[in-house]
Amino acid sequence: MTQPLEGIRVLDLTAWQAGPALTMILADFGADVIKIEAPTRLDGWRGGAGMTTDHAYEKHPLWLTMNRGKRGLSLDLKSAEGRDLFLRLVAEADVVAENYTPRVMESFGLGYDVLRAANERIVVVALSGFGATGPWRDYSAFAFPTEEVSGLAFHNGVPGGPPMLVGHSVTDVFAGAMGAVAVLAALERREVTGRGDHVDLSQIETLTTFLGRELLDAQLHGRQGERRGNQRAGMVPHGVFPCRPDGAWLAIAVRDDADWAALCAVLGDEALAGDDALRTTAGREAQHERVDAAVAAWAAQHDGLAAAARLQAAGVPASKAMKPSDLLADDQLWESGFFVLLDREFVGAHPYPGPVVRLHDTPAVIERAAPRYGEHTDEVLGELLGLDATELDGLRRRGVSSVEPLPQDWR
Amino acid sequence: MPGGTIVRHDSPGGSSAALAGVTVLELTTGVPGGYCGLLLARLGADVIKLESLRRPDVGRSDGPFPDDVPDGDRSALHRHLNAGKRSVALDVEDPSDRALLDRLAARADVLVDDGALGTPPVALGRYRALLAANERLIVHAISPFGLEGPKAAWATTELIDLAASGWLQAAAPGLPPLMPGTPCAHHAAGSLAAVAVLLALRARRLTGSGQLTETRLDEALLSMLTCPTTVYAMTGVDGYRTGDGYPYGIYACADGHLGVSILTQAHYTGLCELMGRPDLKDHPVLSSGVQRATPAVAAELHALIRDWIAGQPAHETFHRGQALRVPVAIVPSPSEVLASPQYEGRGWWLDVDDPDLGPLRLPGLPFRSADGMWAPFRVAPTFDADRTAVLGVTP
Repeated sequence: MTQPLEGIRVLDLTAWQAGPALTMILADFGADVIKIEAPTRLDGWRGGAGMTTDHAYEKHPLWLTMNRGKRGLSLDLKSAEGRDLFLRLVAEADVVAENYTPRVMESFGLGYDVLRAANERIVVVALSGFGATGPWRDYSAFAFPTEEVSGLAFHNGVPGGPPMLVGHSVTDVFAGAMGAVAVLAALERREVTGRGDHVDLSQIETLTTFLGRELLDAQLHGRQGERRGNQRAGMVPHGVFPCRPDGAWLAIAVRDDADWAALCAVLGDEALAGDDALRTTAGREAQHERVDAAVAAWAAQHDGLAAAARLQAAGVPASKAMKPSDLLADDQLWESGFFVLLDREFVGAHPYPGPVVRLHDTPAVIERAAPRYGEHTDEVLGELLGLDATELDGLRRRGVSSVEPLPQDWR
Repeated sequence: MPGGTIVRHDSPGGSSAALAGVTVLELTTGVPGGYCGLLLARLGADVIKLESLRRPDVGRSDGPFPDDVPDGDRSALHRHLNAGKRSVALDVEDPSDRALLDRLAARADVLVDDGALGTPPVALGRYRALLAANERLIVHAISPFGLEGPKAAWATTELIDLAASGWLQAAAPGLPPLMPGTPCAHHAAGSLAAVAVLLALRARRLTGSGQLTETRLDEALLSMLTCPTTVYAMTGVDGYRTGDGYPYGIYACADGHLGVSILTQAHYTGLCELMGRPDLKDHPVLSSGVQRATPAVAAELHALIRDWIAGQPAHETFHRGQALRVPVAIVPSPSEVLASPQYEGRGWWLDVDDPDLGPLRLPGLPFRSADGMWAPFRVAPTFDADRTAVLGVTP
C-alpha cells in the first residue's frame, strides 16, 4: 500500500521530545527515519544519568514511544570522520531534523550552507527553543521553559493562585507537530521549485501563535487574562467532580439551557429542574456554587464511566477524566485501531499510541518498535555509503560509532 | 478589514508559497479547524471560509471586540485566526446553498469540516458522496471521537475533549485536575489537522487520488501527552503530572514568577552557581542525580530553590541563569510577551494598522523559511466579502 512519505529519507539528529515527535510522524507515514546518536551522548529522553546499567537506556517507555519505526545509527558528528560520513548521508537524504540550540550545528561545522552544498534539495528543519536569531538565541529550553516564556503558562491555574504548568511536556509535541507542518510544506514546495529549505522554528514563537485571543485582549482592553481554573464564561456547571471509584473525576460541561434541562433529568433533581431562576445561563452563573454542589453530590454516588455514558445519552457533554488505565480499556480507541502492539527486545510486547491523524487510503504503518542503540549502523552505512566490514570495524575501533554506548560525556 | 495596512512584517514573503494553487473549503467553526485553515492560508492555499450567521466561527464570536460590543466583523481574534482567508456566506442547511457547496467541492482540492455536514454517521455518508464526485478531493474531518464507534455521537466541549483524552488524569496537590488556561490543545490539534492535509496532498501526488482524512481529538490530544499509556503499560503508574515542584517548578520571585527546570547534572551544578551555593555542587546527597530523583531529596531541593528565589528579580535571574546554561524562565503576561526583546529582535510580530481597531500586534508566523514558503500576509475578510469573486455571481 502506498504511504505518503515513501521514498523520503530523514536524518534525525533530534533528542528529548520535540524533534522526536516530529520525526515520529514522518516515520509513521512511511519516511525512512535514521536516528543518529553519538556513542558518548545518547538521547536524554532515554532516562536518567548514566543509564548504562542493565541496558536501562533501552527500556524507557517515553523513548520507546517516540522512536518507533526509526532506524538507529551510531555516529559521532564531533569527529572529522563522523562529520564526513554524515555529509555523505546528506547527499542521499531529503530532510535533516535537529533540535539543538543554534550554536551546536555550527560547532559541528554542519551549518545550513554546508548541508546545502552537499545537497541543494535538502530540507533542514531546526527546532530551537528561541530561534536561530535574536538576543536569546543561545538560551536553553525544554518543554517547561517554552511553556513559560511563550506566555502559555501565565494563564494556567485557579483564580487568585499562581501560574502553573499543564503537567505534561505538551509544548514539545506542539513544536514537533508544527515542525511536521514545516517539513511537509517544504517537501510540497520542493516539487515545484526543486529547491530545499532551511526552517528556523522558534518553539516559543510557535506556541505564542496559540495566544491570539489573550494577546489581543491585552492590547484592546489591557486585560491580562484571569486564571479561571475549570470555569468558562457562559457554561454552568462546567468542571470536574469527584466520582467513583475513589480518586476519579467526572467532567461535565453545560453549554446551554437545553443541556441544563437534560442534566436535571439525569440527576432526577426536581428542585433544580423546577427552579425557574436556573433555567437561564445568567441564573445558573448567579448560583453556580449551589449548582456545583448538587452536581457534585450526584457524581459522588456514580461510577465515572457509567455516569458519562448516561449524561451523553441525554445529550449532555461529559466524560470521565480518563486515566491511562481507562484509555487502555476504552472501546472507542481499540475499535478504531488506535493502540498498536509492538514487541521490543528488553521490554517485551506493549501497546503504543497510534498515529496522530488518520488517512483512510494511505494509512500510517506502525509495525517496527524503536531500534536498539545503533541497531542499523552497519545496514545504513553499508547500504547508503557502501562501507564494507573492514571500514565499519575501523569506525568502531576509533570510537566514531559503537555497538554499545560509550561512557557518557555530558552528565 | 478593508483598507487595513501592514505597518511592519519582517518575515520574508516568498515568490512561490508552498501551497500556491491549492483550494481549500473551510466549513469549520472551532479552534482546531480555524487554526488549520490559518496555517494552510499562510502557506499560500486559497482558503475559502464558508460561514453562516447561524453557525458563527469562533474567531468572530469570541472577540475581544472594541468596547466589548459583539460584532463578528470587528472581532480582534478574527483578524488573527482568519487572516489570509476569503469569506463566502453559505448555510449547509439551505438546499440551494448545499448545491453551491457541491459545486465548489467538485473543483476544490481540500474540504475541512468539523461537524457542519452533520453528526458522525450522517457526515460520513456526505463525505463519501463528495469524494465520489471529485476523486482528487481531500476531505479532512475533525471530530471528538471519529466518525464511527461507540462514542462517535458524543457531544463535547474543550473541557470534555481534554477529559476524554487523558489531559485531566492527574491533579496538582490540593486541587482538582485543571484544564489549561488557554485553548492550546485545540490549537495544536489544528496543527495536526494541517499535517494530515499536507500528507494527503503528498499522497495524491503518488496515487492521483484524494481521500478521507481525520483528526480525532481523543487520539490527537492523547498523543500530545508524555506517553502516559505506555508508562502505565510498562510500569503500572496510572497517571501522573510533572511541574509542581523540583525538578520542574514555577516559583514566586521578588517581582513575579520564575520557572526552574533541572534535567541534567550540568543544570544542577549551574543552579548551585546561580544560587550562590557552590558548596552544593559536591554535596554527598544533592549532587547525585539518582538521589535527586527520590521524593525526599526533591522536596529538599524544592524548598532550597523556593526560599532562595523568593528574593530574586525575575528578568535579571532569567538572564543570569541562562548565562550559566540553567533553564530558568520568566512567566510573562500577555503584555510582557508583546514587549519581549526576543520576538522584537526577530521582527516576529505582524504590526497592522486596523481601521476599526487601531494599531494591532498580531502573532507572526509559527516558523521561518529561508527559501520563502509563506504567502504574503492578507487581512481577514469581512463576512461574505468574496461571494462574487468566488461564485462568479452577484449576491
